[in-house]
Amino acid sequence: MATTAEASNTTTGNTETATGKMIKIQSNDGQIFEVDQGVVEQSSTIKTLSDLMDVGDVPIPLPNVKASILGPIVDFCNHHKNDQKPEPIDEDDDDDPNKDIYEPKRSDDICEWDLNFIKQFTVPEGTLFDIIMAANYLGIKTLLAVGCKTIANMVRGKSSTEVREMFNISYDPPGEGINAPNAIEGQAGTVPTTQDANATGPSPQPDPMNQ
Amino acid sequence: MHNIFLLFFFSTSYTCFENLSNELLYEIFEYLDACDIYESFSNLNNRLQSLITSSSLLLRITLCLKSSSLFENRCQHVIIPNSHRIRFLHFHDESLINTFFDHYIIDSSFHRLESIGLHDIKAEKLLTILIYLKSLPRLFSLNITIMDKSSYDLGNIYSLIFSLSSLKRNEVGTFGNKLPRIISHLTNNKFSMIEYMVIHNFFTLNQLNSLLHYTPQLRHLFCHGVIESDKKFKKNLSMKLLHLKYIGFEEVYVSFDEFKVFIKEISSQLQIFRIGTYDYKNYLDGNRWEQLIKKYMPQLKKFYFRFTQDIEDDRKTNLIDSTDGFINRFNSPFWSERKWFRELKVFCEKMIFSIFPYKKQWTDLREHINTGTNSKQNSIEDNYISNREKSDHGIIQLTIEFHGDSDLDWRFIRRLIPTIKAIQFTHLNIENESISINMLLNILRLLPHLESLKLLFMPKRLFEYLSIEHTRNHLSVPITNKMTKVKLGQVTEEQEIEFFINLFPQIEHLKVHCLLNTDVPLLMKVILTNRKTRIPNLCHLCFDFCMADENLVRTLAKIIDSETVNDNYTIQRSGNKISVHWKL
Repeated sequence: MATTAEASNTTTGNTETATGKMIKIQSNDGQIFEVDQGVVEQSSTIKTLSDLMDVGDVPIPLPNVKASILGPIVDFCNHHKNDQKPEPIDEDDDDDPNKDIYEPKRSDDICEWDLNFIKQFTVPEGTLFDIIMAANYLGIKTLLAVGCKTIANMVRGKSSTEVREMFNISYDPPGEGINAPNAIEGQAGTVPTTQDANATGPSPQPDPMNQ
Repeated sequence: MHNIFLLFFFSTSYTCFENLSNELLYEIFEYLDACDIYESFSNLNNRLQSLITSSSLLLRITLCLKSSSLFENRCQHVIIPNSHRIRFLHFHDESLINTFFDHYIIDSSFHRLESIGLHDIKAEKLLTILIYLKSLPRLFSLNITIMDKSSYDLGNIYSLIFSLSSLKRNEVGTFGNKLPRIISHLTNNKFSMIEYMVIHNFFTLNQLNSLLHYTPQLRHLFCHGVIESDKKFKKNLSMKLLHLKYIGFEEVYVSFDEFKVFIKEISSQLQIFRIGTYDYKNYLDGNRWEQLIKKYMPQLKKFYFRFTQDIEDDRKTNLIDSTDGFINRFNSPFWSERKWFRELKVFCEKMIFSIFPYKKQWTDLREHINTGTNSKQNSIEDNYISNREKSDHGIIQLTIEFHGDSDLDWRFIRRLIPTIKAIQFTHLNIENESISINMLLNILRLLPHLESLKLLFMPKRLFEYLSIEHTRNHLSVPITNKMTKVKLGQVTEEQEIEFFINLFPQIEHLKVHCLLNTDVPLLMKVILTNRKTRIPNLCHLCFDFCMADENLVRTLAKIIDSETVNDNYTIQRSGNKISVHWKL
């Protein structure tokens, strides 16, 4: 049996050889991953780079992604590389003939495998944001959607105080922002609307009680 | 203490929420209702505040029944101050609608509003609101559910809907009263620009015709049901719908002749046509449909037909129990050339005969093909698919689904025997949890032309039939059956696989859905052992296993290497599925 490439999920029998073109990609900390065309196709960035450069055996550098994130991304793309491509959207098509195209995007439709995949990335370690930024940089729409839906699901129904705590969201520097705790106190019960560019809000101050 | 912790946290190099670019934060907001955005991100800091109040962030708001104080708060602090940024606004409760419109109006300040939904609204309230909606320059979609027990004229409502100049999509459902009177009061002077119209009601053909008179741009029409009226539908030459590509009727209760007069007037550009009917046997004439489609629907690509009949009613059942079963009336090349398949489904004591266009089935082989392998192999497989597609034009599928509260019993199946015998079914799907192995074997005996079998669950009492002798005793022609494709659901034991291997020696394609506790490597060993002896034609095997990963692929590959010599195969994983493909 031929040995399989580390990041490929196709194995061939005795006399069979895989002939798909393999491409090397390199994380910003120097680790090299070998991926096949099925993975490349899912990343608009890697695809563009591999089309532009005659890379040969030279790895494509990906300076914005570290190996601990790039590895799982390769796993994600390997898992999804044989997914059925969505057919061109025909608004008269038959799957849901009466659907309203103006409906908001859903976030409750993450498949089980993707739910388990995204669980390995966390807020305290910052890896959940790393994977979203990497998916955006690499142009992997499906992974970006999974990441954004996950954040949306975490946030939905939570107050801004809870969101601040969950994501450790910073206060504005003293004297500059609008949301120092004492300023918020002054705005109790109100929710700001469209910002007036000329307006200057009260300066945010860390809550002295919390110091 | 708290700040020391924060200092430590932020001094690390961990990425945090605020490292996400504005573009990414907007991407996240796409999945959130505006009320959630405001609830969760207001007053956090300058940057987030600017983002959520930016005029480039358009808002979507869906209002469901919550406490009245919360609703009023949202009206005051989210909806009204941001009226110029709201793109989507849907109300899902009468009291919410009343509360909102008693205090506010939707006027031209909502100039970016594209979709509005008013659900469970009273007819009178709706009439007043519709007048104000005329001031919205971008209102493309209007979705209404009227819940009203009082009598009202739907014609007045449609008059106002049709006067909304930018409207492209309209959906109306009425509940709570008898059939509304419509149309006679439709007083529009000009035509509507609506392209997409959905009606969740029963109309007569005359009523429908009157509505369609005002929608010359219509491309998509769905009407839940058509019922008979005192006045027969007559040809109306003023109705020209030159853009109409989709028509769907869930339930039609008029004679085929009357329906034909109506449909042929509007179907010249039709591409997709759905129709369902109950008990109206005059729709079961394949020849009449063939003539109608050929003559009046030259552009038709997809045809969905569904005829439902109660099995309990023996008198009616007998109508289709004759040996020239009705499905055979749809047997001409016209149907197979278009790849429009036929299915008889048994579901909750009902028989449903369907025609539907080709859709990828589990028996399709395309997904198993490793496109990365060499061209010789691809060429062989392409030929195989090509041949298969030719033969599959004749697919007739029997599906036995859920059977209500009680278990499926033989008395029920016995009522189907004449129909089952009359039709040469080639595919059998059993999606019923309660079927016993004894009943499955009895059904298989009645279906000698089967080529494929799909079992969603393992039959009950299977282990009473595990010996080959026992199995063969219960199936009169086990060796000569033509079953080549088998899909087994919820397999946990190797004996279950062996049972079906013994039953279907011609098997070429085997799909096995495994549960968490299934020993997949053990199943692989059993199948490989049998492949040498009992099922030599097996060329494709697929395990559907939620824990499938690369390690399992390597383990299975090692088992194949150790169990077989000079075996040319490919193994690949796609999601939860691991496929092995042998060259024969």
